[in-house]
Amino acid sequence: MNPIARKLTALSLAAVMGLGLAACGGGNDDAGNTSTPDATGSAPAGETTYADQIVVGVTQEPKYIEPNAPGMGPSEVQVSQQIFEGLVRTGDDGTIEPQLATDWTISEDGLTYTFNLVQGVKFSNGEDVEPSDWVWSLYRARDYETSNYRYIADSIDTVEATAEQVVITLKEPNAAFLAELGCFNMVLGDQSYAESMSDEEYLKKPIGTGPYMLKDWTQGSSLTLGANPYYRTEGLPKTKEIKYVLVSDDNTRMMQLQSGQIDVAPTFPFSLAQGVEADDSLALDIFPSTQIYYLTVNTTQAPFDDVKVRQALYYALNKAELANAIAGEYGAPVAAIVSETQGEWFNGDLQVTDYDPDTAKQMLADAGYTEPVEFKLSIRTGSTFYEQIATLIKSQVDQAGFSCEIELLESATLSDKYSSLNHQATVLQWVDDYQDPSGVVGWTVDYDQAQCFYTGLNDEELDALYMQAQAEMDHDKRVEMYQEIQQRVYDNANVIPLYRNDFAFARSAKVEGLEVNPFYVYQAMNWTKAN
Amino acid sequence: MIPVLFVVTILVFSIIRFIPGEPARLILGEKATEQAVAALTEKLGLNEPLLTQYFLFLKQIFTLDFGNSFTYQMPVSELLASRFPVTLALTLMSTVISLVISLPLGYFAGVHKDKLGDQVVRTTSLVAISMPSFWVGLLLMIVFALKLKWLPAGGWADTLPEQFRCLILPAITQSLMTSALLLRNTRNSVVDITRMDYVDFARSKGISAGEVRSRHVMRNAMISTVTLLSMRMAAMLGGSVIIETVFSIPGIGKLASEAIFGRDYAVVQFVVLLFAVLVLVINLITDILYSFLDPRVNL
Repeated sequence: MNPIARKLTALSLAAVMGLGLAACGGGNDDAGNTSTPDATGSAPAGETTYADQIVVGVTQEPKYIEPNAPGMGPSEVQVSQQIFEGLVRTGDDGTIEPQLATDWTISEDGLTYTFNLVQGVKFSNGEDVEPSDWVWSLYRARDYETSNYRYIADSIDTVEATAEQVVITLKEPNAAFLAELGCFNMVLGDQSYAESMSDEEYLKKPIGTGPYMLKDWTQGSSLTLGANPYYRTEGLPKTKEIKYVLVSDDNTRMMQLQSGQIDVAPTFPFSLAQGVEADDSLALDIFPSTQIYYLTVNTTQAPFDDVKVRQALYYALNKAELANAIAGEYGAPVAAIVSETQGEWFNGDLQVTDYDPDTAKQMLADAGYTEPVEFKLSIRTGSTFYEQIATLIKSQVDQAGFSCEIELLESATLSDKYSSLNHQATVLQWVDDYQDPSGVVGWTVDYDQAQCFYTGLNDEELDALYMQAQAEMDHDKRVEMYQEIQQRVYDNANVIPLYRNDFAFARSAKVEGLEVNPFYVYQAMNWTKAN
Repeated sequence: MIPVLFVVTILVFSIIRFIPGEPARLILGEKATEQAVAALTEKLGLNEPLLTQYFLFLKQIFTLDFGNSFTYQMPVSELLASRFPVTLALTLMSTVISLVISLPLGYFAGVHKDKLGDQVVRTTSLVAISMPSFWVGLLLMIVFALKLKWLPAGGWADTLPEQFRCLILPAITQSLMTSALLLRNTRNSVVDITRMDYVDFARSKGISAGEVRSRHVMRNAMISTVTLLSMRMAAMLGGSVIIETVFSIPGIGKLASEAIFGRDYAVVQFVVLLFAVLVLVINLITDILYSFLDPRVNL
């Protein structure tokens, strides 16, 4: 072989190797093409005043859709809620509303719940709902091993169903049960459909009785929901398709909103809110939420093993400044662990202490600390939001007898550190999943759930009071108990609520009908976009 | 090549496991209960001894069955298949744009050394090197998507022509640094080569200016340019995460960074391995190209 031919052969071989690697990825160019036929005929032809599709720009894509899947978070719930329905749902104002149940009765002992069912309900594949689907679905919510939310269905003992009724018997009275039934994982799935495929497959493409069904999903890029042709209410959903597109960067999301590429941007950062308000073609919707940010301290290590040091933090923190700096007019400083949006459950007697560095210093001096109390505040790196909170906290407490060092950790390392109680202090957040305080209270006082919000403070008396409150069927007494729990958590000062903020949704001014409840659940079936 | 890849398998397997962070806890999120963490750890096979896990990894390589992503619960091969072509297309487009910009301008600046044109080109390239790519990306979006409405402000599409449009701004952004580096390198090479005796000799022989330029100046200048280009291509493939995040493109850079932060061992292992193979292939192609450019190099 002559030298030129040899070189050409070598080059061709190398190119083939390179192309071979590329070819591994071939055949997916049209992965995003929608191949499923149009799912609905619900919108009459010719009605052209509204668009057929609304595009939602999300910063994180869902990993799964089925609500018992591991790691259900806001990204998953917002999609899952459009596909599934339960016996009841939590309404936009936080009250419990019937969904697939018309009405219900509760036995006197508080153990048996009987629900009368809406008739003629079908799954989005056209199959009728069978009584066994209810039994299967509610047991699945209780027993699915890798679900974070099994505890919500934990009080269920047995489920029996007929075509007309579902009867749920509890292991012991649970006053929060009806509210828990409104949670996103207590929903109806199709047993025969689920059993026709592998579990992993089902977690990604489940079907329900809700207004939408999964039409297309290109992971890493977009997910499209199409109208359920068998949805029982005529005229709903109002928009045929809801397309979720992944736009990780908030500045890009803002530009896509301005250029009309996306129509809705959920959980919009407050720092960009002004830009939305200044643009006539856009609108900003603000919804009350149960989202609270907390400073949580490790009580198994010095210096926060001393309750006096923890209590001094109340005066060393300027919560009003924090709320204002981070969320502006959409945030408020808070003192109780339960959100004000939980209504009567919230302990309004707890007042936010004014920033008073001298009192904090005096409290530390009385507790025997003459030198500044040093601690490390561990925060996730790469988040300007958390870095801003940490910087403000440091600037406040350093003037009040503490010496705070900010430790920036990559998020996985940080979660490893606080879940093994190797940290001193960190900032965590919580959004309730249903209209009852038992979620956040359980997380804070029940050691078995999360070592008391990763603070390691095992207050058995408080835990017992929580258990008692869970089982108490007298509403007023129960409210009283939860108020007392909040007071005692405040006294323990292991979980220090900093501020509560609203949910901000930016949208095109053409989009109407957005309502989000305090638990970050919305019904896209009511959305419309004018052409 | 094989020993290098073998060392890569050991390194990638051990490094990702030695950094703190439990995959199950990260998948389950902030509200992870201890029960669910334990159940998921077992389901993912992460309670097996490390040696067993390593042999499983080797077996997966030899059988080309890369297993499932922990986070996405889909075959890693499918994930790579959907993401890799996007990054490859982005890199190739950036490379073409870089070459189209840098070679003519580099030559122009080199032959007009220290004149106004050279000064303008050099200053511009210095500015291009200094600008962070996420900022350039946002600026381009403001101009071409918001003001002129010619191109989309990031995002991805379903059809090939639309996907091509989606790649234009990211490719320009990504090519900026490479163009500037190649331009400066070409310019310096041209300056050095035009001073060489063989160039004067070629001219004195009466060879036309065009032939001197292509056969003697640019061909020799290409030797260092090709080296630099191969390094930049490897860097663009691996470092595409910022561009992919700013422009919301589902490429492999973003997948790799998500997998690292999410401790998705299965994905991290095979993405790193893929990059290692790619860098080896690029180096091989570079070596072969040398033999075309420099007759003294034999394969």
